[in-house]
Amino acid sequence: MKRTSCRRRLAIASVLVVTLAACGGGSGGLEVTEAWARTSPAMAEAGAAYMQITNGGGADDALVGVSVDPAVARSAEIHETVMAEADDEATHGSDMGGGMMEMRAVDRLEIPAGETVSLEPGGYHIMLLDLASPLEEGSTVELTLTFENAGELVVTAEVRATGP
Amino acid sequence: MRRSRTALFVLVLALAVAACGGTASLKGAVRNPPLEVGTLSLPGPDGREVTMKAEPGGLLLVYFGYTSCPDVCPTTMADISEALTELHPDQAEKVTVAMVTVDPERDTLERLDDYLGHFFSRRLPLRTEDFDRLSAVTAAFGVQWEIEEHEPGDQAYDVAHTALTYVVDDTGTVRVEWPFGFSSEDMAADLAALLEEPRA
Ligand SMILES: [Cu+2]
Repeated sequence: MKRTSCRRRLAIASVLVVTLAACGGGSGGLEVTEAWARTSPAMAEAGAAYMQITNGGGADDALVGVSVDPAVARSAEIHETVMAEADDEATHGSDMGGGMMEMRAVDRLEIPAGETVSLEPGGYHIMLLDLASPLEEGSTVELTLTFENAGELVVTAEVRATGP
Repeated sequence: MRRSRTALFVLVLALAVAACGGTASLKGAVRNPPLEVGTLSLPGPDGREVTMKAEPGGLLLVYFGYTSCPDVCPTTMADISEALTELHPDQAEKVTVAMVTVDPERDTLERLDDYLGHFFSRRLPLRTEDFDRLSAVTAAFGVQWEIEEHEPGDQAYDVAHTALTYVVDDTGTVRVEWPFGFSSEDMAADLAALLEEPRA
């Protein structure tokens, strides 16, 4: 009787270990692929990084923060490039060309269960503010992503001139 | 989503144009009647007044943006740079890329030139601090821009702007326009088609 219960406990424990191992590289079923940052012109103060975030788990999650080593940039923010609303007072020029694009900061980027969210040029991106030095082709940038449920996940973005 | 919206925009313009003739094989948007920008000019390197016309037999790509723009502007510049590498070197040599800053407060001409130099050897930085002059030029192209309100001295503001690239010929006619996200393959195809046009 006692032995069975012990064995059962062992069985439960081993299932837990397997589950944890499966979550290894990603955290909580989240996986980040194709992470890259664009090379930056010598004088540029800001840079941008892109990636695909896949939520392979059964529960929704959200990207709520990002940080970067101060040796790379002063700070990192989640941004989205959107079409801007023209304002009669403040907007210059005339619109014949499909409107203006602008960026806005995003507090929370939903990563629904079973879906992949793309951070790509002209859409969501990780903006790197006050670069310590230019982003050079062939180097890498480490970003720490903070998810609401899964916690922190460190990703390595490859610096390249154009996307993968 | 974004891609399909861009594709739709190109398709609608292309259909509008197909009905009116013009260079049939261009992949970008062609306006009818075409925009004429050859009478416009802005200050360029060495205090030189630069007219919005390509050199004889060449093409001038005109983009309105700013160097503190980390997503949209470098994406377009990198796509154009990629397109130029896909062209025959003799053709690529006939293409100059001009960038007009919509952020003259932060962008000096030198800064703008350094920025363009990251992507292109044949480049033309254009800048004026006179907002009326800049507005006259952007209005003629159909470009809009708006500088985010900021305290004096605050260097971390954003500038909203139209992100199209205009391909201008040596008579000052805008031959084709490329929306943001237009592929480098299609850019290269349009440039080659225009450069191979029989000349009068
Ligand atoms: Cu941004």
